[in-house]
Amino acid sequence: MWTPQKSRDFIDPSVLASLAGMPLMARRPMRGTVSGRHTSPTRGSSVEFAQYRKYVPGDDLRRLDWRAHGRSDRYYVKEFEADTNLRCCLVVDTSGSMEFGTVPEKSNDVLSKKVITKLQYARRIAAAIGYLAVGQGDAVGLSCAAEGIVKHLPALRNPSHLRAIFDALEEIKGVGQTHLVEVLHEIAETTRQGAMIIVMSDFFVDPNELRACFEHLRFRKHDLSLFHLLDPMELNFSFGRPTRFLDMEGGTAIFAEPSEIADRYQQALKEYLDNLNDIVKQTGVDYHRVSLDEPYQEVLTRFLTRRATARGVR
Amino acid sequence: MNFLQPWMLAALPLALIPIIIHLINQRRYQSTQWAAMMFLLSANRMNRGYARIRQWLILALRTLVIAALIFAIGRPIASGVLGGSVAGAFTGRGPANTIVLLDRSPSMQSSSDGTSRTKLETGVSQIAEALQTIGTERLVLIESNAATPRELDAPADLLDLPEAGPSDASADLPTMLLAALDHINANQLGQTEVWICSDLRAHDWRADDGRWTSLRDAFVEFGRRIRFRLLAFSEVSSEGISNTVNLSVRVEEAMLEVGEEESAVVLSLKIDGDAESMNDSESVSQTVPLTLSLDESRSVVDVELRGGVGELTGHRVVLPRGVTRGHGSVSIPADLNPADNDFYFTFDVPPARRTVVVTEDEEVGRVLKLAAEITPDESLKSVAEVVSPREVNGISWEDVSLLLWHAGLPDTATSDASTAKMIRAFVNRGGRVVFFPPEGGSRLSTSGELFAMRWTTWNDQPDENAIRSWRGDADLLAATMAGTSLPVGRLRVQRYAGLEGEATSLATLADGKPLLSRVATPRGGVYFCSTTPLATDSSLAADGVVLYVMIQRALSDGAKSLGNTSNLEAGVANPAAASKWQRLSGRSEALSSENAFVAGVFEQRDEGRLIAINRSEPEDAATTVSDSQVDALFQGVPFVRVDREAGSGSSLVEEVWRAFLIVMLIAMIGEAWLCLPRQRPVENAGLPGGVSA
Repeated sequence: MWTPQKSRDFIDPSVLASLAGMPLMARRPMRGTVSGRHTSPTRGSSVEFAQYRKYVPGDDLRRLDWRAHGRSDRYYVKEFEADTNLRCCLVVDTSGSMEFGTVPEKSNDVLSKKVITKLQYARRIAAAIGYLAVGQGDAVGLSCAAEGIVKHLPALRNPSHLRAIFDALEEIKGVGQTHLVEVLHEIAETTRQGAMIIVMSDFFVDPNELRACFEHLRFRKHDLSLFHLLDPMELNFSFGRPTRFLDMEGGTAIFAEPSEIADRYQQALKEYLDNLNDIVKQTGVDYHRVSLDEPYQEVLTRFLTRRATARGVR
Repeated sequence: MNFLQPWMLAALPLALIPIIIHLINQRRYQSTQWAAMMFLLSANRMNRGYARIRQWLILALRTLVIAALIFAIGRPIASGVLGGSVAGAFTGRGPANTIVLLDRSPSMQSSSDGTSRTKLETGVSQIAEALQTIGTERLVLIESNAATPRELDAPADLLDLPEAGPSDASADLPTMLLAALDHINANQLGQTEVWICSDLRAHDWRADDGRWTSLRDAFVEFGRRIRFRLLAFSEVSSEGISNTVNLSVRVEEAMLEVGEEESAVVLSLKIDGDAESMNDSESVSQTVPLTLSLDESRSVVDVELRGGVGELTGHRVVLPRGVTRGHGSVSIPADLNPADNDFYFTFDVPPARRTVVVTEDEEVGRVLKLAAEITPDESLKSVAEVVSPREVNGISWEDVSLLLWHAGLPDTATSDASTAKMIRAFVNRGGRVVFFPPEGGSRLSTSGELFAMRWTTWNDQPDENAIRSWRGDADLLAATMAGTSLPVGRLRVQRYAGLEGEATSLATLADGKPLLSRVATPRGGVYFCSTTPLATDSSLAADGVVLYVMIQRALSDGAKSLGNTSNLEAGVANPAAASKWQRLSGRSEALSSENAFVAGVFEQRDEGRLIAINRSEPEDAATTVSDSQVDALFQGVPFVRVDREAGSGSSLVEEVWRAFLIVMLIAMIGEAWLCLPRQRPVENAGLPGGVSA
């Protein structure tokens, strides 16, 4: 059967090549299925010593440390760290608001000379992270969140699974209202504990509702990372003429004189961002606020570097 | 408020430009898809309060800026104190007709400090300036001297017109208003404003005059067509007494004493202060230097004032040998009102007083001759002759001062016409006549008619002592100089004759019939006494004091008309005749046509008589009509009163475009301040960032 040629315009090989040397590290022990490069909460057979433990009947006698017995006349079992893989669950907001975008002004990206939407930006990040994760043997899954989970791909470490994720990313469109809170709660429950969950969204919901989501995900021992995507126009609100604003998620339209409400808009935005900042600090979320005019390569580099330095943090 | 360029107000709709631009701007909106609606909704909710008010304020201020600019270009004038018609405010034209009633009385020459502009100058200049500013199609001046309308070409003429200058004659406001009313009616004037410039002196306003009622009724009928503007220079306290210190001098008598060795003028004069403060300090004495000018010589006499009043009685000024005729003046130092600081007088040898008694009754003739011949002053010579009515034509009238007529009235329609004519000529010359009723019942009713008066019938008076009232304040029955009343009430009248005609009663019997009446004549004096000195008719002869005083006063008045000198009140003399007089003393800049109204000494060129003209005595009284009286006089008439002070520099109307420019500037500053971009509370909201725990 003939299948149409996929453009895959959200994949930039040069960016992937530059990121290839940077590992995607989890900030907490992951519960993988096979051996990998991430710390496991259980003791294993790696070469890295973890601790001594008193012998109890039933323990493997091969793990007894005889030298310690010779020095202290007590029986100790020598334990080693276990390495495992991780399950990376990419959550992309596909509500209508994610289709908003403008022409970036300061980006040198050849792709960004045209209008780039928040969804396109999320595609690029998701594709790059998925590529990196599969490359280091981790399992990657994808969930598209709008009025519910509109598309779900379970986390698999099979390299061929990456194609399915790319296909899904290419096909998704920003439609409908955001029910991100409900979707995150659902993911927290349905995803097995100890996974890395990366959410790409504009998070245009009540921050207090998000707090409950983040706490739920943390309770389930997930490593939660957020890419908060905001268009420069949304940050600056630089309109000149009276404008009729049409809600991209199907709500009512608002007519406003931008010069008259710009200060109020900025005030509301600041309150929202401050509130969100406080919440992510309190819930231990890896939060990245991203302006769409920022090259996503820099964003990912910052994301990966920070994770690598914070490895092992419980 | 009026506008000098009212057509600029046609541009007022331009003030709506900001609103129109705002509305157009609202229509030229763009539509855009927007994701961050939650912030927009929040901002929109916050915007409903102050921001919306600010938006409307900005719009209002922008509108105000344009409106103020248009108003300023329209050259607004503030005439709020004078009111104004709504039509006048938008047409920019003043009233179609303006009548200025100008009080030129001496009191209008006072100033606030004695050196600045007088009330009259201030009033005239302010009216002229106001009328020049607001404009008027037709301007008519009615000044107090002539009291006749005079049309002026332009308001500026008021400033140069001699007839708008000072005068020494009292004003008569009812007469001036009557002239204005006649002018309005005669010319069928439309919208008219009547400006009255006066200091509200009671003597000039005559608030008790019966003409006010008819005047007010007539003006009320015009409705709002006739509007009154009173420019009042009252400067009085609530008690109606002036607060300013002002002295006036008045010669009460200037009598010539001719002696064998020398002659002298004996002066009696009075200096009066009208200030309340002077009245309060009766015990404080003050000396006023009085300058006395007599022909070419001048002397100064100190007059002591007590309680604000100083008197100099019997002051002799010796004349050069051989001089028995002349004139002089007294003056006091300059004060607030220069018009009452001088007083002029004349003196001459008094002529012999000659009386003619016309009667057929010997007893009456004897009594009246006796009363006329006995003079109160030894220096005076008085003669009287008794003639019968048939001998009247033989009387030499030239030197007769008094005619006592006890006979039937000569009828102008019969053969007595010549007699009546002679009597009229005698009265017109200044002579005095006292008519007594003739004897006989039937003859009395057929008596003729003279001066529109006629005897009717004899009546008996049952109550002999019933003199109901008499006028003790003026004329023949006035009280003495010492203030003692004449014993008129003690007279007994047994019989009196009825009288028909229009006359002023000087004494009234118990039944209301007149005992002594005076007929108003332009000159001279005509009296009718309703009884005779006969013992059967009255006690006039028995109680001879009243008859004697009555006759001597009439004789004295009549003699004055024959004398070579006379002292007249300003405004009394005929202006046309006075214009031919030669001015000997007084203000030289006054027009000869106003001789009758200007204080000074004049000489009649043909007769050589000396005439002194001075202000009337009531002019020295500072009493003014109260505010309530003024309000009552103009009740029901569109009336605005503006109180001003002498020398006041503030104009009645002023261009106020500067105020509108200031309003415009303030509105522009306010608009700019409201439009200033508010400091954004989120300085780094646009910066990307992130945190990680």
